[in-house]
Amino acid sequence: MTAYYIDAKTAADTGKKVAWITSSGPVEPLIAMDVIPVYPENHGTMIGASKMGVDLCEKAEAMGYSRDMCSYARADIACSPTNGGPIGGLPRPDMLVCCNNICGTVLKWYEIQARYYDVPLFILDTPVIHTTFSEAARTYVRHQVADYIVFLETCCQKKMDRDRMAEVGRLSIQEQKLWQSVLDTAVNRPAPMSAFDAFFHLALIVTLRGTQTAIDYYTLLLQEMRERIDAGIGAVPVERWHLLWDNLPVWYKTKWLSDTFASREACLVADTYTSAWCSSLQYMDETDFLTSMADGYSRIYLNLGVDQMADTVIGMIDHYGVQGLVMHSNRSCKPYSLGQYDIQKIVQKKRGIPTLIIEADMVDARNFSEAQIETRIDAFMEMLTP
Amino acid sequence: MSEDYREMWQSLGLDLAGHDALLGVLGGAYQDIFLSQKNRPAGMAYFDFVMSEVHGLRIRELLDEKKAGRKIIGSYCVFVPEEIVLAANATLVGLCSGADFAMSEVEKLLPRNTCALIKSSFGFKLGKVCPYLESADMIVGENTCDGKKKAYESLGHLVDNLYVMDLPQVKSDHGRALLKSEYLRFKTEVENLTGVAITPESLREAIQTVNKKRAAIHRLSALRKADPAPISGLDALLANQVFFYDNPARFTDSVNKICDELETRVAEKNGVFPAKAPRILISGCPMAVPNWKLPFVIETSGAVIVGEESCVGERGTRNLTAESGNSVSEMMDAIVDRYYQVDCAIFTPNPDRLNHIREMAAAYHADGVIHYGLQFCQPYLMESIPVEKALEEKNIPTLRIETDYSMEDMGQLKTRIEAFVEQLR
Repeated sequence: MTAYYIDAKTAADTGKKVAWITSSGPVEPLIAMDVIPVYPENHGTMIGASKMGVDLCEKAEAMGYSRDMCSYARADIACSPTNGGPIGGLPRPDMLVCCNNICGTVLKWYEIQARYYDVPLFILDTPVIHTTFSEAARTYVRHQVADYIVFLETCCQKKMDRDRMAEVGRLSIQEQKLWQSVLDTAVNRPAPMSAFDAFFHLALIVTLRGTQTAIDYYTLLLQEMRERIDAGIGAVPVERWHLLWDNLPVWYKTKWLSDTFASREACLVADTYTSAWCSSLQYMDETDFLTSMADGYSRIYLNLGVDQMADTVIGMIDHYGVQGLVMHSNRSCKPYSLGQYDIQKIVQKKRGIPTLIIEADMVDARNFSEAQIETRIDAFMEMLTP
Repeated sequence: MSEDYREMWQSLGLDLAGHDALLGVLGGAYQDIFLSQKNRPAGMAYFDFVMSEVHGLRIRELLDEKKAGRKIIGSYCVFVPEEIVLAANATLVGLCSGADFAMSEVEKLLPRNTCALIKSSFGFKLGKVCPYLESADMIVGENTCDGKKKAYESLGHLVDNLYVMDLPQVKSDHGRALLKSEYLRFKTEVENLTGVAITPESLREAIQTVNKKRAAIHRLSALRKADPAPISGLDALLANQVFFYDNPARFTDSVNKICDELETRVAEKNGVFPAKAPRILISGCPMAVPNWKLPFVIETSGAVIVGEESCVGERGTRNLTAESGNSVSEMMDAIVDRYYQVDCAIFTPNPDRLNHIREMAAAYHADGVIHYGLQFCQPYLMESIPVEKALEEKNIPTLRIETDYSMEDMGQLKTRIEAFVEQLR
């Protein structure tokens, strides 16, 4: 990751182009065009984990942005004029690529940044899939994918190498399978990794999807997890309870949350967030990657209806054998947080396991009350005990 | 209320105690906000009557229509084409979403940081106090903002007749094609509901009916360009709000009648505010009945509102549907073209909206613009900053307000708006 950021930060010197792209955006064509993808949301996670979120969010608020706006967006927007954050700001983009399969906020956020840097913006509009992906919506997205390639060819002033694109697509699918295999190791007891580990290892599947680097990394990681399984090494010292996490991490409190659950003999063995980067794997076609991108990028977890999301959660409860569900009602993320109460009810009805909803924010620590959340976790843990 | 409608409300399953409480608050607010205004046009008596019977006589009319075999379709958004609904022999009504109700119940279903409009729509359902919702044979949701997209998933668990329409978030030929396919799907759904096939004749008549409604509102809007303003912003907003509830033909007649009266007022320079009173354009989120807080504060601070760049206002009504089509297909294309021009903040980029605000500010001789954003409404709140910047570059003073439906910030709003109005003098 360090090498990646050095490449990105020195792109202006090496003559490479940089594209800012949303976290679940179609990165593979960028890789195929030798454009360095940079993720403002990843930057947001670093800002959150570095506990720099409050300062940057306050700067954005001083610029006029509402405190209720997504904290990734606020932190990123505030970084641009100040070169703030743990790496002194992101490298200047040559273009922006925005896919609204994760939320609508990114549309305005990227428009603001496109205006600030005076660079072209491409939007891939992926209609939300309440029940089924209609043929009209599929056609709509496929046309846009074709437009996306034209956009990149125009920005880069070169034609796309279709063979290279096919290879990148193949690598991307392989990586998603590897990532799923890594996550699946947590079905073992003791679980060799927890969701908190997954939050860390996620970086490459987001950032370097479609590259050999990510393949090599996840191959090694999978091997290590298998060794841990063989050696009976668990992620937490005493593993009595297995839990599922829903929504983005609370980046500035991951250690505290990890320690709090571990000290109560609980391991969060899986989460709906990190698994989202392989959630539409079944729709990706290695033999025709570009065409399958319409389905693959529209049918990710966050762009689905509540019933389908609940089905996914229940599938994970069964697959990972969890005894409780912890839901982070994230002040910043409407698509993730709206509908959680419905999912909670569906889970309680169909699986009858205890659920906990904690209210917080992924980057803005002003929305986290440690004492209140600890009390709620204690009450939840008591519910788990027979 | 001129009659006792309790039996009717009971038959709709309303919570009578809750509904009484709602009407009590509504009646009091209406008295304080509307009836206390001085020198109102006589034609406003019609709208006063409509509001006094908004849960009474109008509901009885709708139920009578249902008895006669007509279907009622409820919607929350200006992207639902009334032309298609009317052409299939159904009636379109706006659904209640302008006041806080049963919030403690709502927050068991939706996060606290959901916008007041969405929470309100849930509150009216959970509190069983919206007779329009309970009368509707179909409720149409539309995929506009993130909040609504997900909230309709939850609403779908509370009602059994929800239909969700997809909308593109980008304006392009491909986006228009998606919208067209959605409107054709909606047309089929409405035809299936009513059992009435839309014909060229029925669709043409429906287009004309809705266009007449819009044209009447255009006439009213044009009269507000006069100084002194012949009608208050509150009363003009009320007409725009009633647009969503009333019988279309009767609404058109009533607006035209008041326009006749306003023309005389303009000729006589008879205004509701003194000449040269600071003139305000409101821009931003929609204001559904009974969301009158901000206009009330503005107009009791010495300024007059001369236009609304809003879905409940000119954004929702400004464009007409072309009447030149001969076939259903041609007319459906005209409908798609008309609605695809609506410059809602869900679209990115959205330069038409900014241009329209500038045009309105010039056309209505506005001295300043107040951008109204509902708390937690990301699309409008995020657009408000470029709007403010662009307007101030043109030396148009702009004030951004972020609020909700509660009365807790009335004092704060009053202070900010009085200071803004003072700046305009």
